[in-house]
Amino acid sequence: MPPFRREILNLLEQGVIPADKTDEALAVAGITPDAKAWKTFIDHLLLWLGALALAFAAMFFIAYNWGEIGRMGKFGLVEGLILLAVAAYWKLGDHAMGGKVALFAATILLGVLLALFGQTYQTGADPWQLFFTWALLMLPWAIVGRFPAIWLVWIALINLSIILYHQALRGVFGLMFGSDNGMLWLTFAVNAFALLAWEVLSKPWPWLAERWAVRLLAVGSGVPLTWLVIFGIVDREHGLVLAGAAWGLWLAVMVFVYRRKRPDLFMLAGCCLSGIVVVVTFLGRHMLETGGAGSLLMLALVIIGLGAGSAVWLRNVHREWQS
Amino acid sequence: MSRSGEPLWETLLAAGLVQGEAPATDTMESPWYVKALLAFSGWLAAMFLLGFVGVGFRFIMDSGLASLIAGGAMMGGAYAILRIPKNEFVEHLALAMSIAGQALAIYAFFEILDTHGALLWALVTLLQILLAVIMPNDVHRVWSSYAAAVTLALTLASMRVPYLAHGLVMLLAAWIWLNEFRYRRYMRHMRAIGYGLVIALIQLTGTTLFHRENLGGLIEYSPGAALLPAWLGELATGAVLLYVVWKLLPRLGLRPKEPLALTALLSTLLFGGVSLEAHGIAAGLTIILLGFAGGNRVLLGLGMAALLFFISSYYYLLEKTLLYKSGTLLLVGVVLLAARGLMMRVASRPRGAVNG
Repeated sequence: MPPFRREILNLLEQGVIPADKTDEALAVAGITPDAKAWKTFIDHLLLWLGALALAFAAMFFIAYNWGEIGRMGKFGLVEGLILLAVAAYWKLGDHAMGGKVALFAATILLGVLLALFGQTYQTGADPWQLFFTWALLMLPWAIVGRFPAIWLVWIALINLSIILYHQALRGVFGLMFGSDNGMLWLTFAVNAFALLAWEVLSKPWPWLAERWAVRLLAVGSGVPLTWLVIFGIVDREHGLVLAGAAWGLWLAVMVFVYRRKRPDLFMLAGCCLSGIVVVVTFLGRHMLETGGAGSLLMLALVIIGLGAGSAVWLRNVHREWQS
Repeated sequence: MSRSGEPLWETLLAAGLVQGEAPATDTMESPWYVKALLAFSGWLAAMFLLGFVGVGFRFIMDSGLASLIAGGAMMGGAYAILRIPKNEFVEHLALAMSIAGQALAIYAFFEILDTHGALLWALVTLLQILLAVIMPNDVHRVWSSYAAAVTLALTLASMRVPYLAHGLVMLLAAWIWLNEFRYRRYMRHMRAIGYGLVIALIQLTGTTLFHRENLGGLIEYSPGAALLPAWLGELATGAVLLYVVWKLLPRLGLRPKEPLALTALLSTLLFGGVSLEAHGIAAGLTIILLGFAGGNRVLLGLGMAALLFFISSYYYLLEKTLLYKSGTLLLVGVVLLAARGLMMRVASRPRGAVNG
């Protein structure tokens, strides 16, 4: 995708490029795709969408639990589809988009197979076990597949297992921190570790260097930690000191890394958002207990001040990077 | 001050599209997430501001007219502040003031008209359209165009003709994004309105999917009372997708009567037909196409996220059995893969042979 979109919009708005040369300028800057780029894009888009629709069709079909088709028929169908997808991956290879799509479809179908197994034999397993087993079994494919989307599915399954596990059982973390807090601590820890690993490994393995994936992981770790601090503030019993200390450390590391080491404005904006939410919760908790209308106005002004301060800081950092 | 994108300038210079030195620029647009942060803090501050007015000046809330005057004054004040550029604090303040003012105005409409039916929401739609046009701020324009689209849907649903809003909003959004670079003076305005409409479109498709057309009880509405069938909305969406594909063909260097162009149009038509039952897939695909056509990563990301959300939400659609839904998705998948195969085959033929 074009790196110059914002710059060319600026030039067009300033009227530096003659009006009759707009289309040409957009093409030269790579903003509007040429016929070749369109062809590749449509090829990939239809392939992904088509495969996704078929995988979901298989999932819905098994979930329907149709009595007309016997046990063998259903297993045969899902296993046959998995074999087909893996064969397609093997034939097309991991460099072709078709190969990646086939492997991705195979991982989804693997989950369908596990669900079918649970449905047929009534294993009595908890839902979290389904997703955890799914994650475990797809791991080899994620390792050989070497592309970000499949790893994100893996991490999403682990997150889902944690949430479902804590809904079913309290677990060791639950005993330590209370049920909801335990879940939040564990999701934070898993996603923070994944973020760290992703950042470190994306140097030797360039295929991991997708900013959207790293940003998603940062959101996945920042959101539960921010919630922990908010719970701590609102519900004073729930380990505010520990959550607050972890949050402060986390914020400091994030700002240092993404300000100095790996410039990324999205991460800094996320830190600002987390900061605003925590400060406002803290002030709200203390001011709204005693104050009336004045406290509400004060809080509104604090939010405006924090928002404006964040925007100025982010803009300055952005400008500094660009100069 | 920084120079605007040196490598880009060099490229444009080499192509003979610009001359001389790169212009100095200090008005670089912020990325979407910085604007989202601005919007969030503005909205949050507006809630407290509204609370302040409600608690501190109770007499305003007691009278519809007083609320209307106060709301109007807050929006007017916000407009005056936003016309003076370059101060982050007052810009945030104006945004919060305007949102709180809008809430007061809606409350006033409700008090004065004594209805939460079509008339109220039509008035709110008009107010939001006015604000989207006049408010000199990008974030405000995104918000107001989003709010205008959503309240238009509420108006139409109150009149028992839901699902029409989707097609209208999508058509307008598609037109804006297809002509993004055409009207230079209004480029910035169009972009902001385009984002607002696309976000509204995603929300409206989602609410239809879960039968939440009343948006949590804002209007009295039940899907059974609708005078139009739900598939009509999907049909309109499919028609807009066809329009987008039609408009994009020349950009691929294709004339409408060429075999590849015909294949693309026919595939879109077929896709529109089979996806009538699978809400949102055509809308998501349209947003993705518009995003790619304009080299717009944000739009592309929005389209992909929306599409993934809609296709997985389809599972929860209660009035159809899973077997039926599975069949629909199977058809959609087969059509998409067949279209791909056909298009790649036609495209790989030399153009001369195709035309001759």
